[in-house]
Order: sequence, then C-alpha cells, then structure tokens
Amino acid sequence: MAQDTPTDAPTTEARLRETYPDYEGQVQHAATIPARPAHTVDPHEVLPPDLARRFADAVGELYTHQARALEVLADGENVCVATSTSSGKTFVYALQIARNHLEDPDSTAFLVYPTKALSRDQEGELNEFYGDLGLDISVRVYDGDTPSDRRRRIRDTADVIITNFAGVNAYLGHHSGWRRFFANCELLAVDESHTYTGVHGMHVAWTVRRLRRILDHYDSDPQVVCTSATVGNPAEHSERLVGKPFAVVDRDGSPRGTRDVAFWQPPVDEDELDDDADFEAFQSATTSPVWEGASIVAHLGLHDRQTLMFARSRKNAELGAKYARDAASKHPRHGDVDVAPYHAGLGKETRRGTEYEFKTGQLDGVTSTNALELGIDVGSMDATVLTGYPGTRQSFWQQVGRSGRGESDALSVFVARADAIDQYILDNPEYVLGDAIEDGVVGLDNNPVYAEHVRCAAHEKPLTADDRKWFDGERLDRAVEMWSDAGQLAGDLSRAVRYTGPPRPQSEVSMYGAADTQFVVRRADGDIDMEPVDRDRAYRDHHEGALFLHAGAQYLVTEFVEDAPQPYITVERVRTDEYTETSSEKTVRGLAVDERRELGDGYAIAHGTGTVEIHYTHYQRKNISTGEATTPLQPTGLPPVELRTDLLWIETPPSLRDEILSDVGGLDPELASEGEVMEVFGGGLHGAEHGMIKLTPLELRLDTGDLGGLSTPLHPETGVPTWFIHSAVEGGLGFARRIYDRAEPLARRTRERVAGCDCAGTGGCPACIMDSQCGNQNQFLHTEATVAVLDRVLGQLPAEAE
Amino acid sequence: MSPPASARVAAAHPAFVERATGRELDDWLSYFEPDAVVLTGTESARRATSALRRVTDAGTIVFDPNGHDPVRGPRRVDGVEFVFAPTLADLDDVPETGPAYVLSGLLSLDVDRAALSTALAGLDEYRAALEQGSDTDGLVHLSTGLPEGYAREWDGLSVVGAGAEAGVGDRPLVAFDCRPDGLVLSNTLKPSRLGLRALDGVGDTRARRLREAGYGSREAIAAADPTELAAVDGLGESSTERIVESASAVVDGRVVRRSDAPLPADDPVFVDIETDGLSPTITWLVGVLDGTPPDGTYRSFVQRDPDDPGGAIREFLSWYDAEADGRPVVAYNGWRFDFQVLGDHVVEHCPELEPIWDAMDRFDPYRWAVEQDNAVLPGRTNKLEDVAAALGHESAGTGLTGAAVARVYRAWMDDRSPETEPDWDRFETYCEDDVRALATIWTALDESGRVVSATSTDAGDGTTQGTLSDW
Repeated sequence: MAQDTPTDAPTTEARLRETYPDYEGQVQHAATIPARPAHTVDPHEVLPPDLARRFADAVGELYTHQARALEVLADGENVCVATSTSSGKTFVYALQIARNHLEDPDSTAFLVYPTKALSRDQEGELNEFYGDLGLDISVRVYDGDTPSDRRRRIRDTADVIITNFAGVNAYLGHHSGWRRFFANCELLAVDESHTYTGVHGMHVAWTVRRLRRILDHYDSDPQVVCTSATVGNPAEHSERLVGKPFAVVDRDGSPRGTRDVAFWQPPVDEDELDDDADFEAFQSATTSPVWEGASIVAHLGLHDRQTLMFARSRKNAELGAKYARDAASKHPRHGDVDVAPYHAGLGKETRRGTEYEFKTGQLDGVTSTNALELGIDVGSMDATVLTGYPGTRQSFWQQVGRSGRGESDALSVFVARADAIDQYILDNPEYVLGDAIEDGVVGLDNNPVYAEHVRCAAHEKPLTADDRKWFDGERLDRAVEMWSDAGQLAGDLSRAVRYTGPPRPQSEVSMYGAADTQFVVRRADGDIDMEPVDRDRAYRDHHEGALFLHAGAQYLVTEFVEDAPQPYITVERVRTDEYTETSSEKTVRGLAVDERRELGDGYAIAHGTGTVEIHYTHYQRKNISTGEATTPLQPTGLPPVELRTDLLWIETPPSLRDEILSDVGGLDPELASEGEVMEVFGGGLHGAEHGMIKLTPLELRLDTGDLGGLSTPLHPETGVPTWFIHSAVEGGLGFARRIYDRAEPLARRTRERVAGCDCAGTGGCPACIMDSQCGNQNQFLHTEATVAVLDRVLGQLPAEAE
Repeated sequence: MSPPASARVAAAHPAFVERATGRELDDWLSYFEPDAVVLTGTESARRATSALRRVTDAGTIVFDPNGHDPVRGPRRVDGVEFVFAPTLADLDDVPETGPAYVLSGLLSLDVDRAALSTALAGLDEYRAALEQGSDTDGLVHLSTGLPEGYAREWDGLSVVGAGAEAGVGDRPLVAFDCRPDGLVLSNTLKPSRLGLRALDGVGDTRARRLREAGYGSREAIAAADPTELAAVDGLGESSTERIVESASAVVDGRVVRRSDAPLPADDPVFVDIETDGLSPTITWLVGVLDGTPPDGTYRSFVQRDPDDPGGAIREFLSWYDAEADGRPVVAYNGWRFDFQVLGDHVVEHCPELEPIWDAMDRFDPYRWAVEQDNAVLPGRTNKLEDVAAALGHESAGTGLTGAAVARVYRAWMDDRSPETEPDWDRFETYCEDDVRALATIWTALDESGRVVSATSTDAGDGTTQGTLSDW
C-alpha cells in the first residue's frame, strides 16, 4: 500500500475534490450525515439472568432496537426489524433462539436466507456466537449443496437449520422426514425479507403459507422474525409475505460516524453529440461510470484508504478492478493498488480469499456486484463507491452503509450513469437523502403463481375446507376446481382434496417465474448456468438469432423449440461487437376496470386487467459502438404472445392532440400530416409512458424489466389518446394498482426529469425518455411534448402530500 | 380365472411412430398386442399411418382422427362396442344406449391459470352433435386430446384421456384395456425400453452401433459370441458381458446372476400395499404372503373406513409383532414406494407403533437385483408383472391395475354409498396376485446360480447403472 499521512487523506467529500487529479467539477452535490452515538440497554433488562450474563460477558450491551425487538418477542408477537446495515439484526433472532433453548432444549428454529453464500457465512457466525455464549446449540445449513448422506442426520439432530426458499419448497414434499424439527419449531426467521418482492416475492409468500400449514399440522405455530433493510411499508410487507401481524422495530440504536456522500457526474463529451443523437451515441459520449468509479478507488487507495466499489454486473466488477489498477499507474502518484473483483461467478475459494484479504487490509479495494451488499462479513472499509443507482433507496443506503469503521468517518461516492433514474437523483439528491423509502410490493393476486402452490399444498397434505384460511378463502375453491377439471386433483373440500397428478409437483415451481411454459437454456458448445426463462421473456430476448448477455458473456440463440414437452433454447458462446434489436408490435385489449378516477376536462386514470398482445416480428444486428445496422431486418418467425395482466392507463381528451400540435409543434392541427402528428403528439405520449416507467423504481421496489407500456393517440377501447403501463408477467404482479396510487408523484418526478434534462434537440436521451427496452427503437419521442402532456395531466391530478 | 373380455387400444403420438425403427415398432406392438392403434396429435399423420399399416396385421385397426380418410363409425372390437369419430358428424352414429366407447380427438384441455379455470375445449360442439335426447349412461368418451390417466365427468359425459402425448420424448407409450363395463385400464411402456434399448447398458448410441454391426435383435445378441460382440465400436468387455446377460434373461425368461451373493434374508414375509394414488394419503390394504408358493398363506389387512387411515397398518404391524417378529419383510421396489409410504403413514397415523416398524428388517429384491447388480431379471421390463410372467407366474387375471384400484378407493373416500363401495374381495385377490408374483420372483432369485462369464472373471465389475426407467 502507498504511504500517506492521515491528515492529507481524502476522508471527506471536500478533501476528495481538492485532491482528485483532473477534477472538473464532477461533484454536483454533497451531503454530510452527522454522527450518531450508540444507544444501548443492559441485557439484564430484557433477557433472563443466565442468558443476560452470558451475553454481557461475550458481547456487552444490547442496542436499543435489539432490546426492543426482544421485548416484542417476549410478548409473543412477531417482529420485523428494519434498521441499517450492520446494526446487529442477527442478534435479535439469535438471542430469541437462545432464550427458547434455555427454556426448552428440544426447541428448534428455521432460518431462511436469500442466498446460499449468506447461509454458509451465517452458519459460521452463529455457531461461533453460541460457542462464545457457552450454549450447546447446533446450527446447520441444509440446502441443495448439502450432501445426501448428511441430510437425515441434520434433520434429526440440528437445533437450528438454515436454508433458502427454493429449499423449503422442495422439502415440504416429504415433510414426514422433518417431523421432529417441525414439531419443535418455535421460531421462523426470514432474513433480508425486503429482497422478496415481485414474482419471487409472490412465490415466497405462498411457500411461507405452505410451510406454516405443515408446521400447523405438527402443532407448531412459530413466532416469526423478519429482518429487513428499511422499506417504506415494513409491517405491510412482512404481513403480506408471512400472513401474520407484525410489530415493527425501526429505531436504530447502533452508532455511526460522520458520513459524507458525494453525488458525482462523469464528464460528457458534448462535442460528440448532435441533435439527432440516438441511444448508442449517448452511451459512447459519456465517460464510463465504471472507469470513473475505478479512478476514485485508485485515488483513495493511493492515499491509503480502503474502498469497496459496487458495480451493476459481473463484467463491470471485473472491469472495475482492472481499471483501478490502470488508473493508479496513470495517477500523479504513479502507484500500484491491489484491487480484486468479487461476484457470484467466481469460485468459492477465490471469493473466500478475497473476503479474507479485504478484511485483513491486504487489498486496497474490491469491486463487487451486489453479492457483497447482503450481509457477508468483509469487515468495514473507509469508503464505498456506487457506480450507478442500485434501483432502490434501500439498496443505495445498504451499499453506502458498508463504509465506516465503527464511529470513525466514512465517505461514499455515487457515480451516476447516463440514465433517467441516476440523472434524476443527481438533480434531486434529496430524493435519496430524505426519509421516504419505497414500498416493497408482494402481490398475492397473480393466479398462475397461486395455482402452482395450491397444487403443491394438496400434494403435501390433502386440502380441506379448513385450508381456505391459508389460501385466500373462496379463491381456493376455484383453484381446486381448475385442477380437478385438469385431472390433477380429486375430491371435495368438504372431505379432502388429494393430489393425483405427476409425482413431485414442487419441482414444477420456478421460484422466479410465473409462466407455466418455461424454456430451459442449453449451450451447444459447453455449459451455461442460467435459470429457465419464462415464455414471454423468451419471445422477447431469446428468439432464434438473438444475441444476449449472461454473466458477462455474449451468447447467440441458435435454436428456439417450443413444441416439445420441455421447451428449450440452444445457445452458443460468441464474441461480436454487435447486439440485436428486436422490433415488436403491441396491442392492448379486453380492458376490465378495477378502479377509475375521472380527473375532469376529459382526463381520467384507471387500473384493472387486460390482455396485452405482443408480436416480436423482426430483429436486426447492430454495431455496439456506432449503433448502425449490420444486417437487414429479419423475421423472428414467432407468433404473437399474449399476457393477461394488470395495467394502469391514463386517458386524455381528444382535444389534447390539437393543443400539443399547435403549442409545442407550432403546427396547424388541421394541416398536420400523419407523420407530424406521430412525431409530436405521439412522441409526447410515448415519452410520458417511457419516462414514467423508467422512474417507477423511485416509488416502488421493482425491476423496470417487469413493466411494459404502450401509448397511442387513439385507443380502440378507450376511444381517446391513452398510455398504458402494465406488469410484464402472465397473471400480473399487482404493480398497476400501486402505480395508480402513486401516479401524481410519479408524473411530477417524470416531468421534472424530462424538463430538467440537459439533452439537446427533442428526441430525448437515455437520461430522460429513451429506453433500451423500447420495441419501436425509441421512435417517436418528443421531450417538449412530453413535458406539455405531463403538465396537463398534473393540472388535473390532485397533488399528494408525501 | 381369465381376465374379463376387453378391447386393447394402443395410443402413440405420430412423432414416436415416425422416429422409431421398424424393429422398435414391432417390439412395441408385440409388447401390447393391441386390437387397435390410435394416433394422437393434432395434425394429419400420413407417414405414421402408413408406417403403422406396414407393421400391423390386417385385423388391427389403425385410426388417425386427423387423417384424410380415417376409420369411422361403429365397430365391434374384440367384443366391445366402439364408435370411431374423427369428426363431429360421426357422433350421429353413437348408439342410443351404452355400453360403448366413443374414440375421437375432439376434446382437449384448456387450463387457464390466469383465470383459474379449466375448460374442456370442444365440449359444446361435441354435446350438440351428440344430442339426440338419449341418455349417455354407459358411454365412455375417449379423446386423444387428453392425457393418459385423465378421467372426469363433464356435463354428465364420462370423459377419459387417450394418451395425448404418448411416446413424445420419453413419455410412456400407453395401451388401454377398455372393458365392456366401462372401466378403462392403462398399461405403459417407455419408448427407451424398446428394441435393443430394452437391454441394460444400451442407449441410443450403442443400439445404433449394435444394429450397424449386424446385431439387430435381442435374440441375435443373446446368441452372439461375446468376443465378436466386444469388437463393436464403443463396447468394452464388461459392458458386453452385461448386454449379453441382459439379452439372455429377456430371451430365455430366466434370472441371470451377476454375483455369488446369496439372498440376504431367510423366511421372508412378502407384502404389497394398495393406496389412494401415487401421492398417497392412506394405505388401505396391506397384503401379506406368509411363506413361499405354492403353500404360503395369504392374509390381508383392509381398512374400509377412510376416516381412520392408520387402521390397516395397525393391524398389519400388530400381526407382525405377534406372529412374524424378526422375519424380513420383502416388497418389490419397496425402497421407492411401499416402504416409504408405510414409513410415512406409520409416523402420520400410528406413531405408537413406530418401534415395531423401525426394528423391522426390510428388503427390496428389485434393488438387490437391478440396482445393486446382483442379478439380471427376465421379462420385457423390470415391472413386477412382466418379470413374474416371464418366470411362469400365472396371473389370477383380475383385470385390474394399481391406478384403477386407487381410483375406485378415492371414489369411495369421496362418497361412501352402496354404488361406490369397492368390491373388497376382488381387490384382495388383486393384491394377493401381486404378492404371489413377488414370491415367484424371490424363489427364482433364490434358486438361480451364478453364470460364470466367459469373458470376465471380475464379478463386481458392473459399472452400468440399472435402469429405473420403468418406474
């Protein structure tokens, strides 16, 4: 490591600006978050004397939030602990387990973690903790990696079993082997519960209900602890996930030092851009945020500050480490820095090695995917760099919160990408700095996912009328009838409904998908570790001839076979400087309204269900750096796909067309050509649709890939200009109702972003309304018309207090 | 007692027929010996139809519901009335009263998970075409658009699946025994068990190489000189030995021993169980053969009351504890079904008897022979009935299958009435037949001696996995 005197070191945002070579005003905003002292409680106040003494000897005091949560549990309630990263949430359930154990040595606990890596990390930590307390509590991981000859012993003897929800789904199929463990289960802990949202969240929610039903069968009704990063709706989210009421503990008693957060804009080479610049031109003119972030890592490393940088992909994590070393050699200090990449694609040994070297200070930096965001212990570091907004405020703070050693000062740098959401945050840093946090959405309304779990439940134990309490009341009757008509269930809820389908329905559940048709991915020239792809995704991204990236490598789809018992795609590893762009035609029909608000003057907003038909018709290859087509358009050969899903739509009066044409386009509405109408008015509606979709993660915890949209100057069913936003998953995700509830702030933020964007011309840019997922090659988009359309809608929407 | 008269209809997807070799088609047809063959799928299958015409004799009906000139109208098949209905118009010919089978491709399932509803596609048109004021009692509507095992009442029509995807990929081929009383029993065989691939250690590649080297049939391989056979590309000595042994077992109908190991148990108790399906909630019949044939005594423990699902197991374990304590309990494929189910149900319904269950020695001759490679079993497949039949066991001919028995008991569980009450005696006879078949296999294993191979002296060098594809 380079030598430096601590006083010179860039430990604050101001010092970073002063010392950074080639500083060109990249810091657009900076904030200082004041230090907070620890608030602690004597463990004797909440724990039984014996346990309190052991804890005091081994660890010391309890933070107030830990004490509060333990009190809530002592009262017999379930608790959701939603406090910052490394605030010691694990101690809450670890101590509750110890308390249960001292009362009843036979008691067991089930801990569910989101990743296998975290499971193994925590197994070690917990065993060490119980060793320190002098308690004989055995903690074992039981998951897909557990050798089969050890499984029975673990089920028969472990006090605490750690697993993941894919495991729970599978193990419920032969629960009699778990009788001892389940019959004695007094605690269920769902760690990092905020990660269960969207499609995966729905699967987890139903898996938890199946688990609770089987536990109930063994007369167990364990208390539940959810530990969560801060979400906007911790009680609601936990309740929907688990199906029990929760008390929330979110007043953080852990200490922290002063923290500076710098909001950093990579320089843009304006000279490269003209008014007609398209998506790719913008990408190439911007300094790569990964390069920029890596330069900061190098700079800090040369000043003896240890940094963790977060990248958005495995490839960028690899590139980041390389760039950091390059940047150090070009730095005025001409030094060397030791920076290693970290992501799940690396072997276990390599990852353990990097964790150890980082923890012991041998590395100046690590560039990681979000693999290091969740819980894995690599110690604490001086600084963190975020290359790109991680998608949610929780993740933002979780990544930022990784820096800071105890109560010493910490620095975090957020490097923005050329993307609407990142640019919005640069413009409006108060969005992340404020108290508001987005909601976690667990929709339970998706029928395809629900039906899968009902079928599994019947296999686990015959269903009766009593099971309506687990499976949403009368809805169970409909699912039973559907499966009975399909020949997979038999019997009547008044007596018993038994499973009669093919063996092991649990293996049909794909914990991340909703479609009943899934494509497995095969590689012709080697192995590929990729989850099966839902049908609608396969049509969009994996048709024959499509190029796609997976785990940092590029693949070509050579075969697309749906007419087989197990549909599949075959891929080949390729190295090209091209990508494929797929054109689609989309229609929305069969609208059924759930809620509708007339906004006056012909404006309305509604949500409900409908059928989205998407026809991926053609594709072509384009050059990555120039964006120029390298092949002619080729047909995909695919029929249209249909999604029955939830959607939200905004209707405007027909007169809006003329207003926008004359006010924005300076056109005579009577004389405007169809092309001009599409370019200006169509471009405004299209821009509003794109912009709102792109900024939805500001309000809801979701991946914008789970959303789609459509805009049209005249929709056949609404009869007026309309734009739609829909969940892009068969059966829906329940996002439409949430967006409906947040339409005003979302439209307002979108208007601010588009109006405030620096891009020239009216075609927009990736930082405002251009979207890489657009099926129409971002044609047409019109920024000024977008602002005008949103202004008029906002004029009708009642403002909401935040 | 001979099985009741029934007509046998084999179903296969055209893709299977088009892909299979001539010998595989022969093998398939000689395994099932069907009276009629129906092609599933949704499109005209001209190639498959003509391939079938070449390999079937004139008496066998070949029915392609989507063909351009298919068989149509009423036919009597082996004493059972059928109406072949390629189109709705053919439903005119359905008799006013049953019993009869209507075979078509006109009905299929449309499962709409998003709407939580399943429709029987084609039902309205089908009903309308059928409408003649007659009651439909006694009619069974078989459709190739529905999977094997499907059986459901729709609007008073009894609708049964005729094997929609039979033979697609490695999904089982199916043959249906259609009895005059309306009961449909299905028999299955996986395509990967046809022709040379029926032999242990022979997959697609080896089957092709063996054929190319002139060994086109199992008989040719059983009679082959092992040294010459070993010269076939890709075969080693040990696999050659195993393939020849497997062929001899099938062709000669005898057990071929692969080791000197004696059967590890004496004086066994043979058991077979009946449940309410493959994901069972009740073991309602435990059949026991105490002693070997022909003198062994059969007894069965039956639970007629589904509300007390532990009854049969309790009686069986009490009997065992009092009368057979310490003797090994033998079940065919027990480790994958009977023992697992009994173990689960003991835990579930009569945990007080768990100590008796835990102390019991259990033995599975299928695992011992096939998976642990101690013997090659005769018979076209390793299914209990095929192996026992090859060894000369004469079936009592109850004309039942495990799936049919389970279905009857499920109906009884759902609605206990005189109409649904199972014919208990018949089921006990069915179960007895299976335990006697098991005892036959046991005796053959016990009596078989080690056949010393000419090419190998290392008895343990059997690296090929026993196939479980039958299950």
